[in-house]
Amino acid sequence: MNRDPSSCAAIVGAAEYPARRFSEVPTANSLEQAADLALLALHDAGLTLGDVDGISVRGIYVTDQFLPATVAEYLGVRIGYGEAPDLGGAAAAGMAWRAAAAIEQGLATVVLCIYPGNYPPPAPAGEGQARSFGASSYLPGSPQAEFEIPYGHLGQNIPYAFIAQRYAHDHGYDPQALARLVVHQRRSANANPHAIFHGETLTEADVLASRMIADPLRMLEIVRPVRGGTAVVVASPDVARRTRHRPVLISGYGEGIAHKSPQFARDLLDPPLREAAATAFSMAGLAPRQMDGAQIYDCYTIAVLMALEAAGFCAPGEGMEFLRSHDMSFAGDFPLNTNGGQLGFGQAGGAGGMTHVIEGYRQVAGRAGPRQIAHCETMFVSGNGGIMSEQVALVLKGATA
Amino acid sequence: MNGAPPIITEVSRPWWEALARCEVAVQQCARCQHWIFYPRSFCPACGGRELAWHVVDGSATLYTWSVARVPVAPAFAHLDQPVLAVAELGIGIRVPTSLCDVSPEDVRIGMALSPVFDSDTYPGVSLLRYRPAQGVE
Repeated sequence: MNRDPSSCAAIVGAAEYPARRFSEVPTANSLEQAADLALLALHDAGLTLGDVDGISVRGIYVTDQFLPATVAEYLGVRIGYGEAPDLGGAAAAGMAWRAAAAIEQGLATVVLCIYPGNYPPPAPAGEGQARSFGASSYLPGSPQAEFEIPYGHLGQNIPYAFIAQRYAHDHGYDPQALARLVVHQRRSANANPHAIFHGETLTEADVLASRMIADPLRMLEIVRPVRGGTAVVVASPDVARRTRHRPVLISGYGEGIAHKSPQFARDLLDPPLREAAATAFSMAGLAPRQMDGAQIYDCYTIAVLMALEAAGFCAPGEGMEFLRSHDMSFAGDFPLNTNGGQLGFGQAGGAGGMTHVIEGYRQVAGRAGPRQIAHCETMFVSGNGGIMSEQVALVLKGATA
Repeated sequence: MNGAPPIITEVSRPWWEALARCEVAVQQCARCQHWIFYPRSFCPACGGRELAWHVVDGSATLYTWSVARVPVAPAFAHLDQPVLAVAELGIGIRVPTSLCDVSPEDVRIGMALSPVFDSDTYPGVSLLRYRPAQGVE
């Protein structure tokens, strides 16, 4: 299915707070932050609140339900499409394609995708708080609460390490290749003044010498939580033509959900991005080799390696060689996570996923400043939620005038 | 309290009752013979609703593992660098677990494991943990 570019919805503007350390800025009211980000993104696009007829939002912690209605009311808009996709780190990329699909179906013309960069407050006092341990599901009846938590299977580090260990067993493991990825992304972060690690250079030896957290994952292979916040504006082809910058078409999209916990995955090394990316590339009529760059969800180095294979940039088992043989900085032959990625920019909660969407947009729109990829017309973007459980692929393409 | 005991449901109770007898019992679908874990009210392979519990050999091989060099949560900080793992039983199901009597340097994916019915961690419930099979006296 090769879609007519004139029918594709487009990203037309974005807002992203600089990454900040927790000590630098206090927790914000996420609803106020959502409004601020919405206005910034609309201004960036050259649109106004009056143009908005769709809202997709996560990261609102003043309520755990009625998210689109709460934000629509606060913004004072009446909308034809509201959503709060439940996809963990893939929610941001999920928002982008759902907005595009809603626009293409005629439900809306301008959709605000808003993701403030806060972390959820602690669970309510009482038994819930005592048992939550930061687990995604800890309530009675939850398989995770019954079969994982009692053994200490908690958090993200351990399950991602499970994937890495199994990869090592099946295909071999090269810590230096993964360290190289971190270093190349850090190089890009050093061309991005908004990145948390801007100004801090790094060598492969530094990565390999960093503290072991969950064998074989080391500290510098794991994202640093930061404060931030993001929003993008997705618009219909008609609206896109009257915006301020080059529209970036959401040319193809796909989604896959394989499991919740990797402990129960049928195949730990076959993430659902495989199907998601195949769908997205097919819809766009493009192939991985035709991408001018990639923004791949990088909560951990192993997540990037697995995504490169699943999306078809290299064959399964060849990811380490891929990392060894390419320059992945913004100036390299395979520009990857050119704003520094979450490993270099920082992870502002679920907004971390939107960082990839926004960087993909900026590169194709020609708005990436000192880290601009030369001649950037196409971009692959991935989202990853849970433990490679729920994944989204986007293929972006620059609009032709 | 240290750790977090399992929250047992009506559907899963036979799993835990078997562990308390130092046995491993697993659901099997009467229609398609699929082995089911974790316990469910139906068969995810064929949609069948007739399931039966069978005692099976609890021996396993190591599917994957890691070491929590940093405590996963304050409630688990009493564990000293636990070896967390996923074990695969002969019938093909995989179970989240943790290893005992082994140091991380000696852990190998595919190694043979023997079940350990751990009734010490939580009062009144046994966990299914594992140790290297060659370590059995």
